[in-house]
Amino acid sequence: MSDQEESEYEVIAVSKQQKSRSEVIVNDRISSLPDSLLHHILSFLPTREVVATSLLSKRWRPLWHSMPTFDFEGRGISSLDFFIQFVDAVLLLADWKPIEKFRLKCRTFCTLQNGLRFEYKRVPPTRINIWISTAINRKVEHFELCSDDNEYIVAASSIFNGTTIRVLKLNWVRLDIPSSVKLPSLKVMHLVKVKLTDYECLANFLSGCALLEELVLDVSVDDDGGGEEEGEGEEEEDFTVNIEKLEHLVLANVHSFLINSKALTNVTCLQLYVDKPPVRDIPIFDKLNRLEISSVEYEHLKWVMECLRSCPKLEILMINEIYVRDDSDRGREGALMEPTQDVPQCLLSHLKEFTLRDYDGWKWEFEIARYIMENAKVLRTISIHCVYMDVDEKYKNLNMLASCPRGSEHCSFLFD
Amino acid sequence: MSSSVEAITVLSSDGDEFKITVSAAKLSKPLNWMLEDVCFSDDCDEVPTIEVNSKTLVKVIEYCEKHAPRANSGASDSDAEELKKWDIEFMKMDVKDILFHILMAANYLHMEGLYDLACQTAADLMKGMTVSQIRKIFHIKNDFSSEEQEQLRRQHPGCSFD
Repeated sequence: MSDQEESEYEVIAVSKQQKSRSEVIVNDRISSLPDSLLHHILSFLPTREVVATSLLSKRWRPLWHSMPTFDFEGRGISSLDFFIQFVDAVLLLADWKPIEKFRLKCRTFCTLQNGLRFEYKRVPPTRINIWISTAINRKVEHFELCSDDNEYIVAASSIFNGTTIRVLKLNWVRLDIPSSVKLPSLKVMHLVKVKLTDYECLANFLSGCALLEELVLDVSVDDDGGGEEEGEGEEEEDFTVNIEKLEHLVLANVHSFLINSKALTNVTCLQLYVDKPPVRDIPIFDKLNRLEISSVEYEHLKWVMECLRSCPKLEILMINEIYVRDDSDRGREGALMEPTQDVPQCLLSHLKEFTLRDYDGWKWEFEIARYIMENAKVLRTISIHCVYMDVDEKYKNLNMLASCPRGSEHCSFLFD
Repeated sequence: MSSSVEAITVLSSDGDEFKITVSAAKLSKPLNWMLEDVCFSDDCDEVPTIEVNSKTLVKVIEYCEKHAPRANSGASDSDAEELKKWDIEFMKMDVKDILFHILMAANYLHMEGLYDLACQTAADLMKGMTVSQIRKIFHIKNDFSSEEQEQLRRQHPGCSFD
């Protein structure tokens, strides 16, 4: 054994406080790591693979029982019955201690019946509820439930009493929010593609999450009649949800209809999906530093300008897409704001970065870029990212933008 | 600590001296405590020892220096993306060589980012592998008797063994 190998061996052996192991350890470094480190390595693997490591050697045999994390996924498992048995067995045989992270990813299992027709099976909601309750009884801190195949999972209301949950992520889940929500430890919540019974229940939900710091909300409402989204939008034109202010909330990614509630006014970083802009006044977001608008129809740009008026300290503005529903509207006249209105305060004193993506040079995209370039007095960078276009077209667009007057002397202009 | 100091000198467990900038050292909780408690000004000749061998410490410092700007000021998405790519390149190392030392060092130095990165790298080496493949990669000796093995196999039906 060379000197170097020997010293390396010592580092590991000393930290394990087991100096008398045989030379095998020198090569097999992983097995000589302490349990806590091995648990952390294994926490990056699905539970099915973690359990399989118990067959490696005697050192590995008991490890999975004390794992503080679970990651169950239906993918790679042949039948629904086996998946259910597996999850049941692991939860039963594992040591009864607090769970740091519990992730369940469900899928539809497809079997051929009598060689004639396919049968589709999913984990029954009652079983999912038992697993959720087990996790909650074991003081789970990080809970994730998601669907592998874009089919909604029906989840139990027991989630809403997870007093130890700090991180909650639900994806493709149908929720029935109870009247009493107790999530006093919750700091991070992501509800993506989540179906609710109605939007009003959000008020109830969020009022039970007093410590919330990060919120991602992409929800829709169950309409049994299967009505199209557009009809839905018109009906709820003036609809608002009154939610109490979330004092600790700093990061939010939500639908635009939520921003006229007081809930979000403490955020520093906001991402908006502008589907149905609220008609009521927008409260002041005096801590907002970064606003990202993921997608906005050109008709709602006026509303975006209103938003800017409510964010006096905004430094970073990003618009990822300005779209038009009907191409014939492209030529329509209009203005970003009334001629009598002042330039929003943030443009005069704070806005440093402006990014516009998916640029193809049509009127409204150019108009907003031009307006910001002209009126933002302390702008440092303006970045325009084009959709694919040929060189001539690109050059033409670049020239148009580059010749616009700039309100800030030290503004660099990126165009790609 | 004197505020004029921009870099500190530390000793590895092999006794070699290494320089690390203050902002990079702050990525490690124990080093940060040292910065606060110990005098690092020029007239102080005591050089603290870090119980990590030289070869590993070089890599740890490389990681710290790369990540320090982002950790201290926050950065844009494109920087985060670039850093992720850098991490992947950084972790392309021989398993038998240094990965586990980095893992131990990151744990000892309370460097969450590097610790997660090293553990993730080790886990990626195991992912999708059969039991016998994992044994081969990490030189794990199968010390079960054939009866024990049979029994285990019966207890865990459906898991990918070998």
